[in-house]
Amino acid sequence: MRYDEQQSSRPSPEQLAAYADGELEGPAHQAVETWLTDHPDAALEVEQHRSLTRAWKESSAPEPSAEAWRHTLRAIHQRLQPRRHPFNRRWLGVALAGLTAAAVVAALVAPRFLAPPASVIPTQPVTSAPPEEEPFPVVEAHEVIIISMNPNDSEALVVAQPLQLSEIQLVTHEDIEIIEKANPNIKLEDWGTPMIVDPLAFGGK
Amino acid sequence: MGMVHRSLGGSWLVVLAWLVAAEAPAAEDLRVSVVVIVASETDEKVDPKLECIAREVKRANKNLKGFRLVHMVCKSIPPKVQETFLLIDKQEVGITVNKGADRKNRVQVRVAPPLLGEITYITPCGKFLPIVTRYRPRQDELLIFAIRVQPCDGGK
Repeated sequence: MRYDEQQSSRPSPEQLAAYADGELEGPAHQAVETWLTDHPDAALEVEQHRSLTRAWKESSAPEPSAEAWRHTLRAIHQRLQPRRHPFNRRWLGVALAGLTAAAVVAALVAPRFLAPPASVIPTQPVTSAPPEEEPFPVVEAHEVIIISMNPNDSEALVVAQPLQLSEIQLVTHEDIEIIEKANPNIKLEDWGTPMIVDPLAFGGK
Repeated sequence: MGMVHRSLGGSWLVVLAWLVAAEAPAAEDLRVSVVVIVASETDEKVDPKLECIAREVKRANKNLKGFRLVHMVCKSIPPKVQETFLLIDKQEVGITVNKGADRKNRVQVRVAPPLLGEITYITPCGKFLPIVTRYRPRQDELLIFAIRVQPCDGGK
């Protein structure tokens, strides 16, 4: 028999181990046995495997008793119960704080690495709002009353009416009459247009 | 069907009247307008709306050359209630309309200008009365303001 024919008929290591454990039957068992007859050195390997198996069986630890199994199971259940020890709660709080801090850092840092480039940011805005959200209320033009403004800004108004300052109509002398004044020096100047003038307005005394 | 239409139409009129009444100010409230003016000794530009005031003030003080409108404030206030109007640089004036327009369309006003005592006067409604103060926003400027009271409803 040539070398390559010898290699092709050699049982696999799994077949040899099964033969050594007595787990091969039928034609497979016969084929391996025939091959071992022709290869005494391989038979030695099989015997060594069997010796190892015997040693394993002879030196293996005894199975735990039923009581031992019950004790172990009971201990497992006790460990699985939620502990109320304050020491553990504190460590739990520390762990949660650490996780929260890590999440915050990740939220701050991640966008720098995960955000797409500016060129791929979608330009189309979201046009439809969720149906449950109401739009912001906006005043109507007639609801706005201008109280104070620069008259020169009248043209900039888009709502409400600008303060009417198209004409400043002044009182006349016949119209005005001072009834009472706390400062006796206050005068109603006899000018073309009557005006109340602070005596010190022009540096007077 | 005709009765239904009429009742609905009447209901709408009631609602409309209520809306108009709700939006309109109280009948006795008076609308006070205050125009804030700054006269300048350096800037010679005169706002066209202030030509009359500028002409008269210049007579008293030829150093004042320019007159500009700072802003205008309008408020609706009830009679005998003082309202404060902001002028310029946190300067304020308290204005009280003691009486609304009488049959001659004249109103009685009490005003407390900055750095000046209270003044009570009678003036026609719908016209501005200028008041020249001594306050100087800047060294070369002088504060002037004018008051107008409306409406002129003849005491109705």
